Amino acid sequence: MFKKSFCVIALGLLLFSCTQKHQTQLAPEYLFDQSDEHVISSVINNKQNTISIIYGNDLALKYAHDTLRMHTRGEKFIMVTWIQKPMPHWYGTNMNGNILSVETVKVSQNPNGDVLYDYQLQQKDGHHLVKREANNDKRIKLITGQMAAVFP
Amino acid sequence: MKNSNPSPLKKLLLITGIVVIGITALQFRDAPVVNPPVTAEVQLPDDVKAIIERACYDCHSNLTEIAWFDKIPGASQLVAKDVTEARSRLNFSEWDKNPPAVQQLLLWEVVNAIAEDKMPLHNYRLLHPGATVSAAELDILKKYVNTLSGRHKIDTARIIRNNQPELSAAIRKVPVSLNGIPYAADYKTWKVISATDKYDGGSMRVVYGNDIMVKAIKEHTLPFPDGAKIVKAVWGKQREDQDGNVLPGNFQNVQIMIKDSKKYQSTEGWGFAKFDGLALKPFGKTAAYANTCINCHRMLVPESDFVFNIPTK
Repeated sequence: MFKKSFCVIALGLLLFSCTQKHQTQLAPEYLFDQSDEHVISSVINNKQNTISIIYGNDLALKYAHDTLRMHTRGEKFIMVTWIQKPMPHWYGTNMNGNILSVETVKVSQNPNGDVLYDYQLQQKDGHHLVKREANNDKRIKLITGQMAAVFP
Repeated sequence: MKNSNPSPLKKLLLITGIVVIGITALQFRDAPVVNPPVTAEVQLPDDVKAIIERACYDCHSNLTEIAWFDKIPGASQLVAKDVTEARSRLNFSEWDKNPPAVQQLLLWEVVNAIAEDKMPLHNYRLLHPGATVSAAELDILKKYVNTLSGRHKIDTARIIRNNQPELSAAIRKVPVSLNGIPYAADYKTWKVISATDKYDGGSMRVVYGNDIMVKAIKEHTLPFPDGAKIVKAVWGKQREDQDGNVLPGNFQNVQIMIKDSKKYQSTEGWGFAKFDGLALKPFGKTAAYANTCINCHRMLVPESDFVFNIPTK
């Protein structure tokens, strides 16, 4: 009797496991809350194994479209960088995984009209973004220097 | 009293007779697999071709070889149906019917179908174990697709800029896809749900989700609810700079997926649209193009509600 019951349960479990589809686990923690900022451009870096999006407020987007490259006080740029990972189920595409860092550049001007950049770097430490000191000139140039990606 | 029940021998003869008549009748109904002429066979290196021929050709070419058991009445009908369906999706014997870029994408799709254990079909492999592709053979196929020109495509053309998209959108008639989905620029205000490097075809993408889509991701809701929308903006890739940065080149297309489980029932609840170039030319020759989209999504990502570009662990 025990043997029979065992066989029935084993068969049941086997059938159940065969009909269970592998469930995809969504990862909302990869999303960045961009608030009202617009996408200016995106950057793939295969040397760093990262993928980034540069966002900006209205003024920053206007600057990124402007071929004259004249800064305006109040521009705000945000570059979010994710680790790259292979796209599940499609060999041939990489996509963003976890957020690695968020860099913010705020543009202002001093009374003489000189353009000033306020750069801030936050890096992912566990589940939190933590402020870090960093050499910023090169990053400011990269973040503010891109022309806006072309949209229809 | 005379026993009216037939003897066991008579019973057996009767059943045998019915089976023979049935099989004979099915023989006349069966549509055999016909091999049409090979018009343009795919050109592949010998080692790659050998794998493809062995694993794919019985269904995806005009050189189908039918085994004796495939000719058994009843089974032969199923085989003929499968072969017709397979050839309509991918036919290595009529390869030039696909534009060069599509040919490359199909080869990547072949690799993915095998890598995901979807092809050759399981029931086909049971009867044709020799068609199974080993891990080493899959590596050969992967190495080969990485040599295709799309893999290293760089957009070196002058970037055509559209500095006032809102203005041009306002004066332009709204483009509508062949299955009735209009282009709408409101995705630019949506949240980004992923960013991708589609290195198989030399493009980079930013993928947006509307509020319903983002809420579903945040609440781990699968399948996605009706009203969820996804828009992919696609660009070519500029040459990598000395620090390794690759930036978007020319705008290529916008791709849309809209969830409406009733309206798009035949395509797993998703309406597909694609608009090419800055002129946003609706993609496809007939509305049946959506079948091409869902065929690949259906095969490879059924457990993600048929969507590739979502954040998943």
